[in-house]
Amino acid sequence: MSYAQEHAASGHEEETFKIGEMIEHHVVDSHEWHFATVGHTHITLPLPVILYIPGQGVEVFSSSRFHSEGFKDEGEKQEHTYKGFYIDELDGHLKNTDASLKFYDLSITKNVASLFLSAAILIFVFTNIASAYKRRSGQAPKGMQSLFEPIVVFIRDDIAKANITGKDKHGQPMYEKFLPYLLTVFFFIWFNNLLGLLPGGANLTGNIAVTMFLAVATLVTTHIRSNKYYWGHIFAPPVPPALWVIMVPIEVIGILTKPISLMIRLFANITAGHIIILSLLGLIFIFKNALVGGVVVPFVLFLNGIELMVAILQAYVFTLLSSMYIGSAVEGHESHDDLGH
Amino acid sequence: MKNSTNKKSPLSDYAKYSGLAFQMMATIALGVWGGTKLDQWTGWKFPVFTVILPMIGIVGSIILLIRSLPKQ
Repeated sequence: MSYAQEHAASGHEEETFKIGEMIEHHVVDSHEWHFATVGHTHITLPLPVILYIPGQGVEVFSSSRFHSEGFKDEGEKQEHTYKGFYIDELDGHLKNTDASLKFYDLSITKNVASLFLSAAILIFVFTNIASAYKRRSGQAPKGMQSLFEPIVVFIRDDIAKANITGKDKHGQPMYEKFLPYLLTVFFFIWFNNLLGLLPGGANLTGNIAVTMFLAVATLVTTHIRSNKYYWGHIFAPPVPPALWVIMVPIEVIGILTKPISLMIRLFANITAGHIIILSLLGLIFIFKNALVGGVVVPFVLFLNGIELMVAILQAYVFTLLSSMYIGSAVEGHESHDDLGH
Repeated sequence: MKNSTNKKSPLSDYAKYSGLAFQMMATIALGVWGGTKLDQWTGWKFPVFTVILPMIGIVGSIILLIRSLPKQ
């Protein structure tokens, strides 16, 4: 929104509003955290740029340097450089004027900063709740405790217990071992989805690298305690042996496609939601008409309500599917989960 | 253990089948990608693997889907 205002406010007639740029600015990662633009002033938090250059060591500077230092070249592009580094306006990547210089960008970008923020919030909220249980043991939950207790109990009973049915060799139910992981994943995705919906928030769960890491975590957790029945289902699936030629490769690839489907679903749902809202808001600045705003704003409010639901739904779906995959890997041979193949 | 299957909510069914849909897409996409790579590697005129691998992916995912449906 703020970027759009900036374009509308700087309103020279020849300058057209580029909706694609506005959407990209909101959806992708960047080296600075842009909150809003009031008139012509940008309210921006510059973030540290951390570069590892093999052979030269680590280079750390603030991304605000890109604005204060001289131009790379007086020509048409006018990118700001610092020690030869600049941010390419086209793809948003950090580059060096010397294209042969190899370096690794380990910067704390907007998404990383948002990750730190959400980690701090999660740690604060849940250590608080945990200590409340210690302090008030035996009493009714209070405050934040009573907000989160039903959710935790729901994940324990309806997600973990319902899908992870196996028992370990001491006769302990298996779901207890995976419950911490499932709860962490659920609250991480939910909190970050909600943070992403705030104005000026970073689109963290709509970043495919983040969802890929979550999917890899599920992949590893699934296989770390997998039993022989799970592998038996993969290499000798319960279909007529004539079909094994087709089914064994499919089952083997299925090990990978399950996490890939988790990765793509979360990424696509969150990013698509953001893009739809931004496109609709962009219509106001394309038509430059108050009537369009009258139609679009209520609709965007409605979509925002839907997004709030999608935020918890996607966290639920990710957790549920993770627990189904884990359940299929640890269950005994007597029980049949229909997703376990 | 058995009662977990009959008390599943419609939401968990939604999650399960949307999971299968995405898995189907990923399987076919991996088939196409692997097929193109294999065809590049063999260098044959007719792209045999690009045709065959996605087909196997489609057939296999449909078998998986049918097997995952409730048996009535």
